[in-house]
Parts: sequence; structure tokens; C-alpha cells
Amino acid sequence: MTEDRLALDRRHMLGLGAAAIATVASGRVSAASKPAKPFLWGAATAGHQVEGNNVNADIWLLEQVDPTVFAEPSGDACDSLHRWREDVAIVKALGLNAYRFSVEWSRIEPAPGQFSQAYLDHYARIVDRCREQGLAPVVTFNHFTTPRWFAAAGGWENSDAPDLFARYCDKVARAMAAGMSHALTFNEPNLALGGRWSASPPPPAFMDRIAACVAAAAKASGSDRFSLLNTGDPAPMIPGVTAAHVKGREAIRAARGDLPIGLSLAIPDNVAVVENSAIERKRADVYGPFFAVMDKDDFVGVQTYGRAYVGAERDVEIPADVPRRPGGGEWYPAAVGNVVRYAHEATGLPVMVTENGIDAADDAERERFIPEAIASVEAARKDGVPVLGYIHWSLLDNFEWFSGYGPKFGLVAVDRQTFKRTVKPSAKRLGAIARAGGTGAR
Amino acid sequence: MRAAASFLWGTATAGHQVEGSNVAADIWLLEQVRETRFAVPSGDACDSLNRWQEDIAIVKALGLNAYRFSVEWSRIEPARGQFSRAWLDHYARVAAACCDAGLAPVVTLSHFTSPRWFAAAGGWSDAEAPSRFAHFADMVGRRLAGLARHVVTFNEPNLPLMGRWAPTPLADPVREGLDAMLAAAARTTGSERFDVWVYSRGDDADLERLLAGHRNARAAWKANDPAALVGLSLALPDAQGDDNAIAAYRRHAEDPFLAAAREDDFIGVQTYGRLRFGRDAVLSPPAGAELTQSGDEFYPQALGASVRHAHARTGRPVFVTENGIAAADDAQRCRYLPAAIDALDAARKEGVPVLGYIHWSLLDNFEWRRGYAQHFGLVAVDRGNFRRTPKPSARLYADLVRARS
Repeated sequence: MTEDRLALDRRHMLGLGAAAIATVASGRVSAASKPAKPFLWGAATAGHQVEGNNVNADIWLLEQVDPTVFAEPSGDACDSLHRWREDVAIVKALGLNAYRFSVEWSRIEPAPGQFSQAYLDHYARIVDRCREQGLAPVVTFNHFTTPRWFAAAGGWENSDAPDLFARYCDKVARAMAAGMSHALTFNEPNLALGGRWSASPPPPAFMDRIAACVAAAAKASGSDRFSLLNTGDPAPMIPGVTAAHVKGREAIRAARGDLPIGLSLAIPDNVAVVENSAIERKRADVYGPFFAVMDKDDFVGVQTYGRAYVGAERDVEIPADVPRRPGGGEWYPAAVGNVVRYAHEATGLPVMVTENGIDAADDAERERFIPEAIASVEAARKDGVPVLGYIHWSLLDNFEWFSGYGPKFGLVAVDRQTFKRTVKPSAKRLGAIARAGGTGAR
Repeated sequence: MRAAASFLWGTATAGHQVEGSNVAADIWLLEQVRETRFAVPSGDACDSLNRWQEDIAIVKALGLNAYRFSVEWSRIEPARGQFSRAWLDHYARVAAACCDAGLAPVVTLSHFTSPRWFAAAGGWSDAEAPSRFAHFADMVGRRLAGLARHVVTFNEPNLPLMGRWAPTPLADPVREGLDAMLAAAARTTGSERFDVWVYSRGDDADLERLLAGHRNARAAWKANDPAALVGLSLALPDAQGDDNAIAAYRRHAEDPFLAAAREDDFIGVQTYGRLRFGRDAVLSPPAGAELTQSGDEFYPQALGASVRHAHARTGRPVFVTENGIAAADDAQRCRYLPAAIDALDAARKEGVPVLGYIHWSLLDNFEWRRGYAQHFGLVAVDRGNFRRTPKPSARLYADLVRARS
């Protein structure tokens, strides 16, 4: 889920509390000159959204308690726990050369300090399988979910959180970093911060419901707290997350010094719509804390789902005269190219598009979206922005968090009864671009 | 007309003991609470969740024709009423692979564990428990009927009742420890009563509900496959000694189940040795007796008496669903196996109908509160990399079976 992917989620995943203003890092690292790596063309999934029965994860519990803010429980998801070989085979058959997936902390460390060699082996098999197929494995260490025990101990607000995350990163890195292409410590840890700038904040009743949902999860855990990103005030969590990124990065690097490491941020194409726009304040608030700790990262992952119009105080509704999608949202696939430029300018780092996509029941819309989006990235590259790859969200129609299985971001449809995968035309479109090495747009 | 079913020679595992990371199960939580009475947590167990094909291949390579395994309720129904097609598919794949390998799948529906939500709702003290269990049995039956012909509803449901005949059922510190562990699990789940039958006090009303669950599950399965053979399995040591004590013991720990089994297709017998009864207590093994790794008396011939007893009391065919020994030295198991099977042969020769013999266990596995320290396996499992190594006893068992086939 990303900041701008779904109006519903954007509204509902809002964080609370006063904005903490942080300064944008100005330091830049010069990348050592290395032989050029091939541009990555990929598709992405995330553990909780596709594996199924991720019962030891914090969010699984939130889906189950009463009240819940989830439209439906994740259940079997896409059964990728069993069908991951098929998923990898589809990515390969499409002609892509990268597969982004996440490893589930709650499976790898089901109880504090008790690591599962079996699940480390499981994910290492996926990394190995990707390599056998000639796919670059881009691995996310944390894609929103944490173990239940972690949330019940205070989540990222717990002072031990950075060390706990680093210990987990160490285990994962030792088990499979050798085969990885790129590592992402966190997926969109800034999502809730971005939500606070939303043009349409959620009604208080919904915020009450989230609070009740989290309280019920605490009770079901025999705890007085249950803390996770995206369901509470993000402000006290962010220092824990950024410290965890730094320590996690160190742990991964200790296991494999030459593995490119970054984190991915939800960044819409921010546009100032008034003279006294708060755009820089918003950027400092929503990206600043992360940019500040990415000085030793190897790249920045960007995840873009559209544009945000920033007024004097917050985001404002989209202008009346922009091109529209059938559902009413703005049609602007080129947003990702602008974000790629911004992210490089702000960090000095190479950029990887780790997510970009569109919730489209009509796949024809996605077919039109993909070449336009990629062309905008190609234009940025042509202007000298170093871009490592373009990874589309998502390989599969999957469990889109609060919204359940309603949204359709997949290049591949999944039968909810049999889990049968059916490749959509848009997937072939992306594959054809990948095979051709680009859109050929001028 | 169906050909007479051949005698089943098999070996057994149970989900929680071999699969690993069975995190939605009640007992997984009991292993984790601070007041746990488990020596170690189950962790990855034998990683059979990923290595089940290898397990089946080993059973086949031994020349056996049956494999008993359990389906994990907590995987199949991780939240109340939410059934996982993915896990039903998984167990169907296991059963189908058995069939492909020429092995009769013998499926246990409840091998001690139940879902966390079931325990947190009070386990078998909940009035809805029998229908919950039957619903689960029906869902499994829909998917596995036609693949698995032999079904064990409950594994050793009589265990918590085995001490109830005596004035001091269990040594008080043990009982108090179990109660503290269950209370901690209740706190951890925010529930009023976290009840796990095998560690419970075995209340009479709960027992009634469990037996209703058995009957309902049997009916649910048979609705999917009328030709299936359904029963339950009991821990049935060879009871010896004081007649009054034995009668009292059986009144609590056997009779309600044996009565229920009269309506079943078989009675599952699980025997590891003998229990010697004094007037008020179970006696220690005789001085100088050979002991097993678990500190019990080495007494393989117990199986013959248990099989005769189970048949006599139920009139049903007997299925030896477990028999084995914890042995640090596999040579002891190599002496146990022929003696136990000789005793079974003798009972069969006398006319006791027996469907099969299933050795516990295929693998060295997670032996509940004792962790990984008890080696019941025909096959050793490396705790670091899960590598399986058949022991001499596996070969010996294969030879004993071949000589009888």
C-alpha cells in the first residue's frame, strides 16, 4: 500500500500528531565506479500480501479482532507460501530480470530470539531459485508486518526495537545475502507521515475504530500495548525506525559488504499549487527523517502512485482540469519520472523504482499506464539521473491491507478459490518493454 | 466386492511434533509462556512442513504400506470458522503422495493440539466445542475423503484421566505447574480460560463434550466417505497388579472411551509398556528392571495384552496406531521391535482381529514437555540441518515386515 494508491487507504492509514520537522540531508556520497549492471525490470510482491496464513504477524491479528478496520482477513492470500516457484516462473516467462519479494520477520523469528532455520532456508530457496532463473532477487526485510510479540512489546516505540531489527537482519543476511541483488530494510516506513498531509483526513469515527482495533489486539496479546506503523501516531515510532534502518544496514553490510542496501519511500509527485505552498515543509516532514539516515545507503527506493497537490497547509484536492481516470482519479503515469528526479536530487543516490502501479479492474488501463510511466523514468535517465531499475507493483492481485482483495494492482490475476494465476495483457506489455530494453520512446 | 484389505505395516508422526513453527496451535503458546513446563520450545521440529515428501519416501523405501500423520487443526482453521484451502490442499497433497507411494494414509484429526482460538474459548469446556470439531472434521473429510480410508479422531484422549483413579492423581507440584502454565496462556490471550485437554484436569463434563465431538466428527467424515474406517486411539498400557486399582483406573481412563469405541470401526491401541498397580498408586519398575530412555520399564510384550483387552472390551477390530520405545541406544529398539511384534503375532493367531501395526515414530521428534531428548524414531534427525538418517532399527523393522508379508 502506498500513500496515494487508494483514496480509502490514504485516508484511513493516516497518522496522528504534530509534524516533526526534520532537516533534509545535504550530504552526498559518490558511488564508486563499477561495471554497469543491467537495468532491472521487475515485478514485486510482499509476504503478508501473497503468502497466506501469516498468523504470527501483527497485522494478521488486527484483521481478526473485533472491531477490525480490515475489509476482510488475509486468509490464504495467494498461497504463495506454496506457489512461490510458480510466481518466480511467471516473472521469468514474462521476460523480466528481477523479482522483488519480502521475507516475513514473524516467520523467521516467531518468538523473541527463536529463529527458524526452516524459514530462513525457505526464503534462501527463493533467492536461489531467482538466481537459477537469471532473476535479480530484490529483498525487502520489512514490508509493514512485524511479529506479534514485537508489536505487543511496543513495536518501534520500544527502545530495543533497533537492536531487535538488526539481530533479525543479521540472521537473514547470513542466510541469504550472498544471493541477493539488492536489499531494502524498510518498505514505505514514511507512509503514515505522508498520510498526515492528506487532503481528506479520515473522519474521527474511523480513527476511533483504528484505536479500538489496536486496543483489541493488545488485549488479545495479554499486553497493555500493541504498536505498529500505520495504525497510530507515527511520530514516536519514526526515531525507532530510522535507528533500526541504520543498525539493520550495518548488520546486512557486515554479512556482505558489497550488497547494495537502501530503503523505499512512498513519494508522490508533489506539486506546489500556491505560492506559499508547504511543499518543502511536507518533504522535510515526510522524507527528511529518512533521507537523514540514508547517507550510507547505496540507493533510494521510490514508490509512486500519482501526484499530490500541496497547498499552503496540506495537500489539496486535485485540480478540476486534469485528465481523469474512469473512476475520477487523476491520470498521470508520468508522476514516477518526476519522483525519480526528485529523489536523486534530494539524496544524491542512485534511484530504484521499487514500486509503481495502478489499481485497475480494467487491465487495459494498466496496459496504457505502464509504457507512459516507464517513458517518464527513461526521460529522467536520459537527463543523467542514475536509475537502477523499474519494479512494478504488483506481480499478483493480492491482499491490499485495509481494502482486502478489492483492489487490482496485479499483472497477474489470482483465482480466489483455486489460486490459479492468469497472466494479464499488461504483464505481457511490461515483459515486451523489458525484453526490448525500454519503450523506444524518444 | 472389495479385496480383503491387507494388514497395514506403518510408522507414525504427528503434526506438531514434526512440522515445525506450528504457531497458531495452543501448545505452541504453552511452550512460550514464562510459566511453561516444556523443556524447550518445538521450534522447527523436523521441518516436515517442507520435508514431508522425503518422509514419505523413507517410509516407502522401508517397504511399509502405511503412514500415519496428523492434520493440524490450527493451520486448517487458524481463526474460528475461517478455513484455509491452502492448508487443506497441503494435507491432500500429503495423502495423495502416500497413495502414489503405495502407502495407506492413516489420518489423525486431533493429535493433542488444537487452535489457539479453541483453547482460548475454553477448549472442551465450551458448549460449542463438539460442533466446532465436527465442522473441522467435515472440512478435512471433504478434501481428503477418497484419499484416506483410515481416520483417528483423537489421539490418546484418555491421557489426562490416567491419574484420576488414585487418591493423589498427579504429584501436586506437577499439577500446579500445569495449571500455572495454562493460566499464563489465558493471560497471554486475554481469555478467561485457556484449556488444553491433554494438560487439563479432565473434567467429566468436558469429557462428555469431547466424546460428543468424537461421534460428531465420525459422522461428519462418514458423510463424506461411508466406507471410511473411523476410530479413536487410546493410551493402553498393559495394566497389571491390584485388581481393585486396575478396575478403578479403567473406570476413569478407559471405560468411557471403550464404550464409545463400540460404535466405531476399530479401536486404536497405543502401548509402550506395562503399568503395575499397587492399591493406591502406580508402582515403580521392579528393582533391576531394564529401563528405557524415558525411565519406563522395558516391557515390549505389553502389546499382546493390550490388544486382547481392547478387542475384548469393544468387540471391534484393533488397530495398533502407536507402539515404540524411547531409546538412546538404537540397539535397545532393535530388541524391542521383534518382541513387540511377536506379542502381536500371538494375539492375532488367537483370533484377535488386527488391522495393522504402526510404529511410533518415524522420526526422532518433539516429544512434548520433554522436548527433543526422547528418541522414539526409526530415523534420526539432525537438529541443525534436519537431515534424516535411518537407524539400524528401521532396517530391522523393514525386515520384520517383509518376513510377514
